[in-house]
Amino acid sequence: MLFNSIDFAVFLPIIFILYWCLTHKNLKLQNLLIVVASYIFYGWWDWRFLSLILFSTIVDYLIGIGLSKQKNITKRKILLWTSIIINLGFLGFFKYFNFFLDNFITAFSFFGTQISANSLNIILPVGISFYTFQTLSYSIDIYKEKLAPTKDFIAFAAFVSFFPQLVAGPIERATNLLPQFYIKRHFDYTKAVDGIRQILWGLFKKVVIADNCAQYANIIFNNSSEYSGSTLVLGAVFFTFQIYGDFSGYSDIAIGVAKLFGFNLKQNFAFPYFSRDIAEFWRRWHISLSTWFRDYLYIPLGGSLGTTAIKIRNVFIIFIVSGFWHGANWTFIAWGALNAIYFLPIFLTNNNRNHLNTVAKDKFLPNIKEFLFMLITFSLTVFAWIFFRSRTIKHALAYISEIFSSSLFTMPQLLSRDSILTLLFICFLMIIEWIGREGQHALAQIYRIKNRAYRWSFYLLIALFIFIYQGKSQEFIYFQF
Amino acid sequence: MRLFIKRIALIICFFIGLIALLIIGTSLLERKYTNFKLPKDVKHIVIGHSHSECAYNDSLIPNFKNLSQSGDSYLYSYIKTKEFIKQNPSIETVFVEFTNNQIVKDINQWIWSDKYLAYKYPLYASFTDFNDNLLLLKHNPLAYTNALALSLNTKSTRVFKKNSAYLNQLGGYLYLERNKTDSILNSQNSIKDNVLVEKIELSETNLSYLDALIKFCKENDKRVILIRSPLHKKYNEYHNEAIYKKLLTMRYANIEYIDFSKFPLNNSEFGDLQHLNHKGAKVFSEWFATTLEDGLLDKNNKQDYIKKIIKQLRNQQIIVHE
Repeated sequence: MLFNSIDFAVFLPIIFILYWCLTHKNLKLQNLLIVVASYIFYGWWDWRFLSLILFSTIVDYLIGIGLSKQKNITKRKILLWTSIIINLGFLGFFKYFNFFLDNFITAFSFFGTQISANSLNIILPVGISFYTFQTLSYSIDIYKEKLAPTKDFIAFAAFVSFFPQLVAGPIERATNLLPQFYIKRHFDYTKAVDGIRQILWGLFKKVVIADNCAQYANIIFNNSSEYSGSTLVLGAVFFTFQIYGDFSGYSDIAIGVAKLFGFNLKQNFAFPYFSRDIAEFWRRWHISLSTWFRDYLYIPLGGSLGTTAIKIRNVFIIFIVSGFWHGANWTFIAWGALNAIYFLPIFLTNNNRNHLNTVAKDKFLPNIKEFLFMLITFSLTVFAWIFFRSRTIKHALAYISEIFSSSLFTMPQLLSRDSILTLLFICFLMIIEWIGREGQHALAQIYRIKNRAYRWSFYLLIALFIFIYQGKSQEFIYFQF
Repeated sequence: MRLFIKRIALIICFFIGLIALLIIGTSLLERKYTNFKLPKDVKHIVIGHSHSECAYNDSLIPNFKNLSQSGDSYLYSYIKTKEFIKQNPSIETVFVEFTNNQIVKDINQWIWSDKYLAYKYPLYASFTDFNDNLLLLKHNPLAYTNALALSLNTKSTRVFKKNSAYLNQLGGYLYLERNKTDSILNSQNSIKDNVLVEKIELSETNLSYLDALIKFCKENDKRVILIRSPLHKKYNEYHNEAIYKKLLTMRYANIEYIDFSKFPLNNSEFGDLQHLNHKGAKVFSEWFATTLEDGLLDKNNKQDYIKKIIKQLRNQQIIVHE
């Protein structure tokens, strides 16, 4: 079920009413309703893959209980590795099987050995990369004794399948989300209103920004050889905002919906395009994934401790794995490696924690230095997205070489009334996000406008934009991850 | 909780009200200012889908305007005809394409499928009435809502730009360059077998709009002639010919009808099995112009007259082909 579909527009109010009117007096019932609603939500796409979630839930629930009872270190390790192998095994099979198979065949043929093997026609279960990481973190946290295992299966099932963030995150840690299922939720007007605001802004980002940008990004990337360098730059910029609008829009809707049900999910995007360096960008982009890799991969590898060579190795590993997580394609690996290359100079010179606060805090505009830093970081990010969006590395390199041709200094093609309108909407997005950059989301601080008529007029304007200027509906990009 | 629901309901009402106001406002402005005026010498118009759009090169036919458009169902043909007739009293005859694929249930997709709604509805939204909207809403609410949003976008742009003359977006002769006939014939395994009349489901919705179109023309003293544009003899939809003929003799018995489908043309003059390319359109339109000039419309039995000429053409091979 897509958040921007009629199905969801019907589903959400029904569940909301049932949740607060029928089950509000009983915690077990509240959790049970969330499990049922989540399974309906997921099964709407393909009910067969519900078995996968259920299996993953049962395995990690039992392993959690097993870990808490087991004192023997070897046996605890066996239990942990069982969880890791099962979860990553599913992920590896559904997401990476064909990639590895094809690359093995290519590698062997390179050495003159021909291997005959057929790729499997595998359907990638929606959201598998998200919920496997969520269940995995549960087992690892129990193993590390950071978390006590739950004995409440329904609460655990609700944690794994919680529908707002099931298919595209944010990837929640058990330490944050699971305890919220132990306490009965009470309706909180302020939180619910804030949730609605965040949903509205998320929809704007998805429907107006991402879907409109997608039309141009698709045309330009799919026919890149036909366009001038300046048009290709425009295509990369469109994709930059498509992916941001798409993914941060989804996260905003997910967090907003969770608030309607009394839950607090972690912020997943903190206005990343206002970052002043790449390290800050990665603290602000897909925060739930970055911190997951930091805690469960980077730190166990030694993190920033050790020799320079080890530090470099660790940085490359975390960025490349992060790229590979996005999909089974060399383009994602190249994108990850490129970000590692961006990151290393500031990391090795100990400048990676220079910008921990919000840019131009308590000021209306940034100073020239901040602005230049933001512009450079943004340009580097746009450049990296070319690898992310291209079909192959060859395509990305051809795209880049076309950009740096004499046609870079010509007027971009595809500048029509509609594409200019889309660019104006991007400006509108950036202005609103700039104003709201100190909040959890762009509209979080709108309550500061005391006059309700102004606030409501603004909401209506956003809703009107969503209705009138909706782009051609596209699936959320991160569903494929 | 109650306060929350009350306020959400209130803001939704505001939003719906605002949308309704915008839709009604832009529609009223468009109805008032849109220019459907044709040149004063236009006496005959042809309405229909891509068959007639590609067949009648109106630059070669005096006093004639082709207003057909690809993908037009009779719903849009009806709306278009109404507006053109209202603003062009000089129109005397309305030729309406009536061919095999316009009668069967599949054509309903041209009325309310996602693709066609998004493509057609925004062009005509201001001129639809309540029942038209209800029909679309009933059959595809999601696509209708999207089309409504799209229409508001296009309408407000037209109103804002004061673009009242967008006739070229509503139809016209299509100069078709392609020639895929031979390749289609090579790849075509077999022609569909004739289907029993009882097994074919008609599109009552599409036909009811044709009825409405005919009724409107008659009420305004305009002559309606159903036509079938030239088709290749291997055209796939001939399989429903029996019910097609039945409709003509029963439902449209009182409506004049001319069948040009057997007009002799070479494969190279077809774009595919149902569309003439520019070469075919030239040959056919020149012949059609001459036939009109020779008083086709004054003949008592037009179909017999045309049949006779086509037969002569076939026998004498007097059509000049390239």
